[in-house]
Amino acid sequence: MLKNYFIVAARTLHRQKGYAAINIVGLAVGLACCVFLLLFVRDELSYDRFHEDADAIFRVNLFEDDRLVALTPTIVAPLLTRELPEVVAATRVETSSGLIRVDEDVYDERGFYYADSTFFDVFTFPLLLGDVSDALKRPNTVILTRSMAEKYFGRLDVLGERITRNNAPEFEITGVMEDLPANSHIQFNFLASFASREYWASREMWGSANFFTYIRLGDASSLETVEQKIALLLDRVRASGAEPRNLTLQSMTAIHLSSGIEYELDESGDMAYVKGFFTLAMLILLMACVNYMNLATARSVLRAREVGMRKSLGALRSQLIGQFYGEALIMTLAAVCLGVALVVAGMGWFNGLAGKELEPSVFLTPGAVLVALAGAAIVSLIAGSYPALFLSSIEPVRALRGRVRSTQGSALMRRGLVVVQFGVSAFLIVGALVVVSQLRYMQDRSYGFDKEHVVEVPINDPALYRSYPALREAAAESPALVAVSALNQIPGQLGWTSSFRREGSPDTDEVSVKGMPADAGVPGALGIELIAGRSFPEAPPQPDSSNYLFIINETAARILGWTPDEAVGQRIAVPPRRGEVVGVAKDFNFNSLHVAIEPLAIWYQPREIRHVIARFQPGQTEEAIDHLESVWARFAPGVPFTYRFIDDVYDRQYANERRTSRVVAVFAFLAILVACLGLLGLASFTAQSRTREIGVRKVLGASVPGIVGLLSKDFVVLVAVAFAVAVPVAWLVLSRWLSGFAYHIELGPGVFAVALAALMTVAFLTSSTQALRAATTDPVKSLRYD
Amino acid sequence: MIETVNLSKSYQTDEVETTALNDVSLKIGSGEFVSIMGPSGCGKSTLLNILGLLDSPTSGTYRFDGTDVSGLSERQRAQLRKGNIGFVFQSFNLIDELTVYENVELALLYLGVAAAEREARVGAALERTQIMHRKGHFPQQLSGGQQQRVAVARAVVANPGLILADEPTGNLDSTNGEEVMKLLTELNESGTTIVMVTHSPADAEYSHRTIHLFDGHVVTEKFMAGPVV
Repeated sequence: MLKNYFIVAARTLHRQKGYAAINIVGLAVGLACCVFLLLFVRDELSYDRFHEDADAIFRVNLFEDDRLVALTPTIVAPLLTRELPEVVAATRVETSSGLIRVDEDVYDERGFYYADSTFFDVFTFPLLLGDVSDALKRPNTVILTRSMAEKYFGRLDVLGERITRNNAPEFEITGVMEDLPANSHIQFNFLASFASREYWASREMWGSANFFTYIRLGDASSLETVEQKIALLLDRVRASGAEPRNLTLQSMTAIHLSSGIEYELDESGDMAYVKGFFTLAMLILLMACVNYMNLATARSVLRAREVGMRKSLGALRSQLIGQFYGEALIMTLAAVCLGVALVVAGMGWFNGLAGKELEPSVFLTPGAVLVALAGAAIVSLIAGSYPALFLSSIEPVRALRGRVRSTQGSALMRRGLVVVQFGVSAFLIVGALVVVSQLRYMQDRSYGFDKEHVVEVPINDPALYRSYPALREAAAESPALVAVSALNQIPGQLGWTSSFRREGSPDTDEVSVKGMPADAGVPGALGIELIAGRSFPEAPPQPDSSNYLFIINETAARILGWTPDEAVGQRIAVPPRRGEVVGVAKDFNFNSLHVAIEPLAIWYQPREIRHVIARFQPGQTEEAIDHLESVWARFAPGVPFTYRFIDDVYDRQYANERRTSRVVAVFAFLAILVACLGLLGLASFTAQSRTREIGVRKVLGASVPGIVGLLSKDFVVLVAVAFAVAVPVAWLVLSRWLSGFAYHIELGPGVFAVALAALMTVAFLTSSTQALRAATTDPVKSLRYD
Repeated sequence: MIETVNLSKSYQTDEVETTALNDVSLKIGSGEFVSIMGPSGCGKSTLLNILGLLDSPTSGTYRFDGTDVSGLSERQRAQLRKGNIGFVFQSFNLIDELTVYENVELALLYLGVAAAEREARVGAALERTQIMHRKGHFPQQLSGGQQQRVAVARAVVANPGLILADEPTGNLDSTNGEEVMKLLTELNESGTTIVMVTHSPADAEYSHRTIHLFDGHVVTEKFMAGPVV
C-alpha cells in the first residue's frame, strides 16, 4: 500500500511538473530565507555565551547624569575583588592601537589591548601556546592571536620573540591564542599585560575612567546581593572622604544587544532588529506553508475522482489522510533538501548581506539533521493538513462526479491566506522603501560642513606629532587641498564630553557640552560656516588656563542665553579652561543623525591633537591622497600611511541600518516571490473551478479581456484588502523606527502609493496569466467537461 | 440480497429541499441482473449510490445480505463495501497516475491481499476482460472501450457478490458498448448480481428485470425472458 502511495505521489509530481516545481521551489526558498534569518538571530543571541558559566560574568558600568558609560576608573576591579567575596575574579581591559615594529617592519595595528593577569580567570579564551596563569603577570609581555603570529613570523611557535609598540617599549611574546570568535564583543589582536601600563597599574584612583572592568561572580544568582553590597561599599568610600562614581553591573551576555551605552567596545547589535528578523523568518515560513496549502488544494480538484474511486474501493478516511500527509512529507523533504542546498550555496552571499561570518557547517551535525527532519515533519503537518483533511472529507458520490465545490468556509480561508501573504508583502515593500529612503536621506542630507571632502590621517607616532607644524605647511602646498588642520576627535566619533557655563556664574549652572580641542585652522579644514565673529587667529599663543579661545555652535550660544552676535566676545568656562568666544559656528551634525545636535565648544589647544584633517577640492581625491602620502613619507619615514574619509566614518555609524535595509529589501523581494507563487496557485484553482462558468459566458458572447477582468478582479480586491490591513501596521512600526533618528524623513503617502502600485501590478500580472489561459480555452471543451 | 423498504432521500440546498427518492421499496435477489431506467433526474443514480453504500438514505430501511445498513457510519459502510460491492462508472474513473495493472490491483490493496495472490488475481481479472496485453499502459493511452474493460476488471477482481454499474456504456460507441454488456452478462452468468442504471433500452435488454423510476418513485417493473429467480 505504501508503495502504491509512493507511486501515485511520484507520478503525480512527475505529471504536474509545473505545480511540483512551483511548490517545491516556493517552499525551499521560504525555508532557506527562514533558516538564514534564524541563523542571524541565533548568532546575535549567541554573543559572549562561549565563556564558561557566561551568566556569571558582568561588566561594571558607570552611571552618571542619566548616562551609562562602559569605562571605569582603575580602582574598581581591585576594590571589588578585595571587598566582595562573591566576586571571584575581576579584570581591567584597556583598548589601544599603535605602530607595531617587528625587526625592521612597521605595521599600523588596531586592537592592542591591555589586561590584568586575571583576564583568563574571568574569560574563557584558551591559549594555543603559553600558560594562562602567568602569561600576563610581568610588565611588557604580550599575547598574540594566531593571525598576528602568522603575519609577523609566518609560524605559531613565537614564544620569547619580541615586538615593539610605538618605538618603546619592547614586548616579549608569552602566549599565542586562537583568533577571537566573531560572536565575541571583545575583539583584539594583541593582549598585553596591564602591568606594562605602569602608571595606571600602580594607582587605584576614582578619576580617569579609561578602563573596562569585568567581574566574575562565584554564583550568577548572587547578583542582587552583590549590587546591594556595591551600593553600601560606595557609601563607605564616600564617608571616608573619597569621591567614588556610581557603578552598575551589566550581564556580559546582554552587552552586544544593548544600546545607549557610551564608549561601547564593539558595534552593538540591536534587540529590535533581532526580534524583527525573527518575526520576518516566521512570516516567510508561514507564507511558504500557505502556498503549499493553496497549491495542493488547487490540485485537489483534479484528484477528487481518485479520492472517490479509492473510497468506493473501501479506503478509509484515515488512509486517505495518511496518503496526503505522506505526499506533503515527500514534497517537504524535497524542499528541505533544496532549501539546505540553497542555504549552503548562499551562505557567502548572506554573510556579505548581513555582515556576518556564519559557517554552513552548522548543518553537518546530527543535531541539525534531526532539527531539519523535525522541521520538515512539522511543516508537512501544517502545510499538508488542509489538503489532507479537505480531500479526504469529500463525499464519495460527489467526488466521483468530479464536482468538488469548495465550501464557503474553505474559500474564505484561502482568501484569508492570500490576504495574509500580500499583507506581509505590502508591509515589507513599504518597510524596504522607508529604510532605503532614510538611508539615502542620511547620506544626501547636508550635515552643515564639507563632510564629503574631508580626509583624516591619525597622528600615531611621536615623531609625527613633533613635526606637525612643518607637515601642515608641506601638506597645504598642493592645489588639491583647500585647507589642512588637526584636532583631537574627528566628526562622526566626537565623544569628548565636558560641561560649560558663562564665566562667573556658579558651578550649578554647568551643562553638558561636547568638546573639540583643535588647531587654529579647523573651521576651514572642516568647511564649517561661521555666522558670527571670526575663526581662530593664524597662530595664537599656547593657551594657559584662562586665555583659551573658543568657537561655539549656535546651540551652545542659545543654551548660554545669547544670540550668536551677543556671544562673540563673551567669556565662558569649560573647566578647567576659561576664555573668550571668538566665533559662533552654524549648527552642523558633528555626530550621526541618530542624535540631535548638541552644544559644541571648539577650542584652540594644539597639544591635544590626534588627527590631521585635510579638505580637498571636489574631484581631486586621488591627487590629495597622493600628496598627503608623499608628505607622510617625508616626515615620518617607515610609519604606515593610513587615512579615512570623514564620509566613511559617518557611514559606519549607519552600518546597522544599511545591513537592515539590504536584508529587508532582499527578503521583501523573496517574500513577494513566494506570495506570487501562492497567488498563481489560487488563480489556477479558481480558473479551473470556474471552467464551466467561463464556457457558458463565452458561448453567450463574453470577450477574452472581459473574462480576464472578471477573474482578476477578485484578486485585485484581495490585494487591496491586504494592503489596507498592512498600512496601519507599517505606519506604526516605521514611525517608531524613524523616531530612533533625530533627523529623519516624514512618512508620507508616497511610499504607500508606490508599494500599492507595485503590489497591484505583480498580483495582476500573476493572476491574469491563469485567467488568460482559462479565457482562451475553447468553450466546447470546457462545457463537455461535465 | 438487496431489500429496501420505503427508502427516501432528500437534499437540502440553501432554501430548497429536493426529494430524489420517495418511498422506494424493492427486492433484488442473489444472481439477478436488474436495470434501472428513467428520465434524467428521476433518482436512478441516487438509488444506485445508496445501494452501493456510497450514500445513506434520509429515511427507510436498507438490508444488504440480511443486515440493516441504513444507519451505519461512513467507516462501517467502507468496511462493508470492500470486497462485497464492485463499481463500474460511466466515466470509468481510472486513476491516471496508475497503470492498468496498478488500477486493478488497487482494489486488492485496500483488502490487504498478499502480493503473490494479488498478482494471480489481477492477472485473472485482466484475462477475463481481455485487456491483459495492455497491463503496463496508462489509462490515457487506451480507448474508451478498453478503459471500461479495465474498470470492469477492477470491479470484479475482489470477487464481489454485487456489481453496480452506472451507465457503463454511456461514454462508449455501440460496438464498444456491446462488448462491455457482454462482459457484464458473462459475469452475471457466473453468479454475480448486477444492478445497472441505464438510459439505453438496448442495454436494458441484457437484464432480467427493469425497474422504471419517475420522480423518485418506482413506477413499473418489467420482467424479461431469462432465468427466473
